[in-house]
This record gives sequence, structure tokens and C-alpha cells, in this order.
Amino acid sequence: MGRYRSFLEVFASSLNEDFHFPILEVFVFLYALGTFVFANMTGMLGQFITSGEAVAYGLVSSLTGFPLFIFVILILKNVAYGLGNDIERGVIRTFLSYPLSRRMLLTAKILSSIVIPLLLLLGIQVSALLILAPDVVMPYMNTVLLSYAAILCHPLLIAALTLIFTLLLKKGGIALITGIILYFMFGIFSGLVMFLAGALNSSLPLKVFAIINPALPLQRYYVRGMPGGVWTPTLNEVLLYVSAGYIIVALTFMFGYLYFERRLEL
Amino acid sequence: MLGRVGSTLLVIGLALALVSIMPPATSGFYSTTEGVLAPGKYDVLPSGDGWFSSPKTGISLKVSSNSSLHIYLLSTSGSEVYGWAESWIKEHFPNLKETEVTRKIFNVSVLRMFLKEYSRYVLLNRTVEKTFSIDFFPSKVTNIILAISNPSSVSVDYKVRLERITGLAAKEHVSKPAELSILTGIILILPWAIKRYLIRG
Repeated sequence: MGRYRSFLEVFASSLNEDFHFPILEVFVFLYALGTFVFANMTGMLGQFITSGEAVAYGLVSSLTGFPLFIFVILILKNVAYGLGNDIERGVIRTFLSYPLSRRMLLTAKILSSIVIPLLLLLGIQVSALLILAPDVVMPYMNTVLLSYAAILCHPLLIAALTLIFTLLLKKGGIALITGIILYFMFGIFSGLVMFLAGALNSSLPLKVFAIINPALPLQRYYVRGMPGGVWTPTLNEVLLYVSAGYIIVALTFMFGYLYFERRLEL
Repeated sequence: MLGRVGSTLLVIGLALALVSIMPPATSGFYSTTEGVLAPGKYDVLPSGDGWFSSPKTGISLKVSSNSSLHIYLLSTSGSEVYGWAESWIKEHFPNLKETEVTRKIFNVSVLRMFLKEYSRYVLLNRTVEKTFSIDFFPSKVTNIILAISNPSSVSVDYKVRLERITGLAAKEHVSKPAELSILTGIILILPWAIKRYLIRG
């Protein structure tokens, strides 16, 4: 069996495991319906939004509540439960008997557990937004994609951390709970940082937190005149924070890869 | 694999179909206008900023008249139409007195010139024979005004009722992709379903 064929076999097996019928269909249905239900152009941030670009940003950011939560639950379930159970039950050892490097094996698992749900989320939501508001989305496609990049950075960081917990603990259930706790902690911490910045009248807490949450400077850039606004970054700063956020995500995944390749005992 | 792609497309289509059959909800705000439109004249409702609308916040429009009328939904404000009309008349008819300019502003020919110049503002263009009604959602965030014109040579009585509505999406935007997605999904599922049926049989 060739390496390419083995890779596809592991990938197909992971897809089958991660997306049992009708898990995929249920999540896809929720993504599609949720986009239309939660998309909002005149909501809470409406009074602060003035330009067409900002409306496009507002539209994407209105989908960061429930639909993003569904996405996070799906990828955490796949990473922690899928990979964790495979380690616990010894399925990974069987896969390692294939002519496939550990790196390629983990790549196949990550493709199935994170990349496929990510493509599903982006594909369905962007298509739905194009159907819903073509004249809001089409002229500002760059803004829409930048908004998604910034908003998805912290869920991907949590997915990478959950991957490391799964490899360290070798147990899916505990890693899943840890991932969910991390996600909620992130939300609470986000609120605390806003409060701290307002209380100290300093932008430093926001700037530090923005490194792992580039959605924050993006929001400050597009939504002018927000209450407690002590910091309005430029677009270049926003791009810098998005890049920094993804470098941290990439480094975290790299750590997971190194651990899986060199340290993980099965 | 194709079967799963089909089932995924099918559920996307079902979600879109569900969105398209959801009726819009009325928000309670409405305005009713009754009037007589003289031959060759037009009117704009409202004369100020227009109704704020978005792809999820639209207007329900009901027009009734005793003869034929043209209606236009425009993404602009009444003041912009009147301002443009006034400056256009002054530019092309410099010898007119102020009262004559004011009278000429409401001529259908001036509205036609405005629509020619700003065709991008036209969201909807219909001819009304007695009654007309539509639930309209624009494809962008904009202010909407209604322009009613009477190009005929007789006066026309009209009645307009406008109501603000909210919905998940415009039905006409969603129904086509829903049909396409459901159809493609069923086509892709069929071979898998037949194979499964034959194996069980």
C-alpha cells in the first residue's frame, strides 16, 4: 500500500469517525439556517457603524455567537473525542502500522477534524451571506474574509491547545471538557480585559489580549465611537495582529506535531 | 462519498426552503397615504429621508388606484430627488420664475430624467393596474422612497399603504438556490439509496 493511498485511507476513516450519519447533516443544517436567523445588519453595533465596509464587518460579526459556538463544539468534539478515543482504543497504533509517517497521520486527523468543518463553515456562511445580502458582501469581499480570519483565530488556538491536551492526557473526555472550559474562560477573560482597559483608561490590556484575539482590534477599527473606546487601531495594525495571532496558532499546532512525532508513547 | 455530498446539499436546500417559507413579521409601523395625482405629475413618499431598509428589514407595499400608475422604489431620499430636480430645471430652463420651477419639479418628464441619470437607485419598477402589493427586501442597507407617477392624461386617485416588515431573507433570493440544492442533493443520493436498497433486497 503506497503512502498516498494510506494517507487517503486514514483520512477517509477519520471522516467516517468524525462525521457519522447524520452528524454532518445536522451541523450543516444548523450552519445554513443559523446564518439567516442570526445575520444582523442593524443590531447592537448598528449605531456605531457608518461605512459600507463596516456594515460588511457587522454582518460577519453578527454570526460569531451561536453559529461560531456550534463550530467550536464540532472541532473540539472531533479533536478531543476523535483523536483521544483513537489513542485510548489503540486505533492510532493500527494506523501506525501503515506505511505512513506520524506527521502525515496527524495531518490526516487534523484535516478531517478541523479543516473540513472550517471549510464547511466558511463555504456555507459566505454563500448564505451572498444570497442574503449580495450588495453588502460582494463589494467588500476582502473585509468579509479579513473578518472571518480575525474571528476564527481564537477558536483555532483553542483547537490547537485541545489537541495538545488530548495528546498529553491521552483521554478524549477530559480533553473535550478542558477545551470547552478554555473557550468559556476566553469569553470571560475578554470581558475582564475590556473592563480593565476602561478602569485603567489604558489601551495596554487590549493590545496584549489582541495578540491572541485579533477580532478585538478589528472590531475597534470598524466600529468607531464605542463606549469605553480607549484604542482605535489602524488597518495595518489590525493586519499585524491577525498575522501575530495566526503565528501563535501555527506554533501551537507545531508543538502538537513535534510532541506527536517525538514524545508520544502509544 | 457522493451520497454524503448529496445528503449535505439536500439539508442545505431544506434549510433554505425553510427560510423561504417563513412569512415576514410586521413590526407595527405603517403609513397610509391617499391622494389624487394630476396628469403628467409624480409624487414621492416620504418627502424626507425614506424608510431605513436592509436585506432583513423590508417594506410591505400595497397600492390601489382607479387607473394605471407607474411606481418606483428608489434607494435615495425625497430631498435628494427634489434637490436634483430643482437644479436640473434651473440649469435647462434658466428663464423660469421660482414658482414655475416649483411647479415643474413634479413633472413626470423631470422624474424620468432623474431615473435616467440615477438608474442605479431603481430597486423596483412596476406598472400598477388597479391594485398592486409586494413584500420588498433590498439587497443592501439603504433608505427607500416610493415614487408614484401618472404619465396618463387623466387624474388618478390612489391609495398607498406602507408597512415595515422583518424577515429571515427575501423569498425570491432564497427559493432558487433551495430548489437547485435539493434537486442536486436528490440526484446525488439516488445511486447510494438504490445500492443500499438492492443490498438489503
